[in-house]
Amino acid sequence: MRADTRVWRSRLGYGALILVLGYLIVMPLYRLQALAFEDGAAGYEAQFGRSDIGQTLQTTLVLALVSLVIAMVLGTVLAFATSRLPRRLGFLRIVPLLPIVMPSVANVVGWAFLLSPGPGYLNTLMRQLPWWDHLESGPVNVYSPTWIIIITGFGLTSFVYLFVSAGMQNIGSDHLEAAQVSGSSTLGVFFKVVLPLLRPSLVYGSGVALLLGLGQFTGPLLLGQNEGVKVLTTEMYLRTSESPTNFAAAAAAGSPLVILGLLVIFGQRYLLGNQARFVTHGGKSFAPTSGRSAWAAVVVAAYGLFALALPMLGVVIVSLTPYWSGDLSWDLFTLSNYRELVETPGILESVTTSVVTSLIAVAICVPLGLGVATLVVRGRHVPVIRLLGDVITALPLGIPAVIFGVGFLLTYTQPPFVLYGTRTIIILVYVVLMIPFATRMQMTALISMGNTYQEASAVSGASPLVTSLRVTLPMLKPAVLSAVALMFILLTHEFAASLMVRSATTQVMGTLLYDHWSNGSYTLVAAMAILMSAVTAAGVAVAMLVGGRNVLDNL
Amino acid sequence: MKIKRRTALAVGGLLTSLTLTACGGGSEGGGELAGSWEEIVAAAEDEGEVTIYSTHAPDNLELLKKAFEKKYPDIELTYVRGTDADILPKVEVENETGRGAADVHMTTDAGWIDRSLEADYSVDVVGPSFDEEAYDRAASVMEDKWFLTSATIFGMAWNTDKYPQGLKTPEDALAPELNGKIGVSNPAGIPTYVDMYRRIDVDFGENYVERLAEAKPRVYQSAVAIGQAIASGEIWASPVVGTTVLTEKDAGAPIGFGVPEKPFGVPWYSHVLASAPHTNAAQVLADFLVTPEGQAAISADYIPVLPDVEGTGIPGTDVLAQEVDLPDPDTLDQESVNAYQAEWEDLFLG
Repeated sequence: MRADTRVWRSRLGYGALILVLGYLIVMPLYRLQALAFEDGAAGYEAQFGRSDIGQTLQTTLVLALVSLVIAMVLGTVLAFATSRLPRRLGFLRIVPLLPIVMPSVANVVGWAFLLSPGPGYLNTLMRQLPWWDHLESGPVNVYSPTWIIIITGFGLTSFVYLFVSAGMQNIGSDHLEAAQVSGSSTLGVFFKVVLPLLRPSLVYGSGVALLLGLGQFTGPLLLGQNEGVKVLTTEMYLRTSESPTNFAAAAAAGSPLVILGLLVIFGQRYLLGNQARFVTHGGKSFAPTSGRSAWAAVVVAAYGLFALALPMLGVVIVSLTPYWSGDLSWDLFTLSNYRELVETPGILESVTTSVVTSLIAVAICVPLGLGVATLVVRGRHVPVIRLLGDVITALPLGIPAVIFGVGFLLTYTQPPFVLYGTRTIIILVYVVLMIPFATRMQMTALISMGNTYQEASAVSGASPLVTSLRVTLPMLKPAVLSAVALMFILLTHEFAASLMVRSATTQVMGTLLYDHWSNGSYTLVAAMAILMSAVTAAGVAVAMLVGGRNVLDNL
Repeated sequence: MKIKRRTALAVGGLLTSLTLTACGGGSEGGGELAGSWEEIVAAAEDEGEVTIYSTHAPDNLELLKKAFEKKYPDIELTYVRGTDADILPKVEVENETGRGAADVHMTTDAGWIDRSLEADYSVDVVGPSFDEEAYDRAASVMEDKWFLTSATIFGMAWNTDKYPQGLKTPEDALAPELNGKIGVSNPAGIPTYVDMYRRIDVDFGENYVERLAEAKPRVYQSAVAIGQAIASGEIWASPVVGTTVLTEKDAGAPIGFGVPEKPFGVPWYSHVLASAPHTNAAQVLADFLVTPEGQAAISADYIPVLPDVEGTGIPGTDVLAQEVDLPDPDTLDQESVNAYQAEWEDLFLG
């Protein structure tokens, strides 16, 4: 009887959790689709009846696929390079991760400042070269589809690196030594041993990067509008910027991304099949690879220069000038843009809103994620709820943030919960976007912990509460802190969903920066980009203080 | 088991927080409008804040904030500057949800103004300044709701470093050496720009828009952004740019500016929103906008609604905003604007 009660309590508790997550995650998607199919699928007709829809679909696919190729090549090379870094240059391992810390909005405007055809600083420098000295603009046009793709590829590289380097760390040195002893060169080892063993990481990494590429919004929106570059996500934004707002067409525009997202998730599962084939730990004698290759340090440093230092330099220079111009002189430098940061209405408030909404969302995500992780790892007695929890919390990984943004805008401007213009709607959409990270990272920790510690604690007479407080939670601490750091970084940068759900007076840093970019206030935009990066860096510093220096490594 | 209990608590907390936020918070509608003007001002000071959404130049909105807060130190003014494409959907959502953030809204979109009169978006303005003789209420206020606030004309601007010879007529912008180096505004979601392209197609010379597209211009979201791009040298010139470039010029940017023979002009109209959370402060701001102090701020370097306001107007003329016509709303219905937008994109971005 007591066992039955416990099972029912458990079903009720987990059931309530899944209902809440279902409402938050599935309801906005459902309402969007319901609206798109209303009036004889008028939304689909409005969006897919446009004369330029073929071009939009093509640009979306080309952007996703080519940037994926760039990211896969660079991410894999970087992962291999960091595994071969000389010991004293080991700190460079963090470099490929740093672009994640730099807000994508800041990164994109940084490239615009460098490679705008006219006043872009790099373009101005390149025009000094003898073979380009006849040019009046260019040679690079950052607003062209080619450069939007390249910048997107650079941005996705860090995410691929995350997956591939994790896989790389699991390759024992014995495999590589065996290959080398057999006469293989470094390239031979890379292609014949490392790449095949990395297949699971490459499949996961490519899936994530493809999804991120398909849902790419910041680059196409900020850079592409000048030349009419359209992708499905920017079309969604434009449909919600029309008067009257056409939610149905916006929903229809997002549908291919939802379908592709689901296909990629299922495709990954199919491709990976039996993962036991890829186990590389040889038991207790496992030793990770290490190296002394100078080329590795050069590769990593070059990536850091292009992906992080250069765009940041562009932003810094513009932030210190009275107006953006390719012609620089020391007399022009001023701090007035930073004073304007304080004086311009809404900027400091947007910092507060970003930090507060991010922290609250993270605080909600950690227990929710723990709940779902526990359900998935230990909920064999509630199989249906467990499967639902696993699938529902995976959805936000496969579906672009902008779709959730539009879904939330639609759902929460109608009863029963009218949340338009409040911070609450931002927090809720942030919770949805982060729940996969909170769940997956804690799930991995719970799986690796196994049941042994809990059983030992129980045998020693500890109650479940004491076991949780003194055994489980302390052991989860590194995973939780890493999850908190990752979520805080991603949320203080969040742009796509925020742009949809913000109101004119409830703004986060990224959306206000976009408004100033649209208004052409470039110098203020540059100062804001620095401010955004500083806020994120402060968050990472706090995470490192609390969680130790390795907190970023755990990502 | 304990973890499950904590999960249930977290879920409960989330639901409670959702419910509380849904029930309260935010700004649902406004209070009651006080009786006399003195009582309205007193009630506005009690409300303590007011928000305006506007497509006007950011620098002028900042001037407005300073001037308004100087006269009404107990009322803080917040302004939100954006294009019509940014702002109009927000005004509509706020009206539909009853969760107003804006109190006063300023736009140039004649079609939207016309449609809004049927949608009950506005309340009557009651301030005494609307009845001042100099303001000319009959020519300046529509149905007691929309009131003329300011006006602008679009001129020609160029970067004096990159293109020292400058533009004397709009035709000059089509010179071969400027191919790919001029800027234009995208009319997406902005019917005022649709009207502008239709007008300049006639006023600037035969098939001007088509020839402009052939010059491969760079496309921007607003005339304000074009001004910044000219200042930076990203583009060299534009035949249709707002007078905001004069602010950049004053900051030392290498900018030249001229007004063509038949410039495109457009007036700004404002209204007090029915969903205004600060009912009385909204009326006080509306009234302030048409006072000499308000005009000195919002119409600085623009065309004012009152004569003889220092720092406003086009030098050498005494043209007033009342002389700048609002486009015919019948030509700016949604269908026609969408059709023109598609045609424009095909021409300029296809």
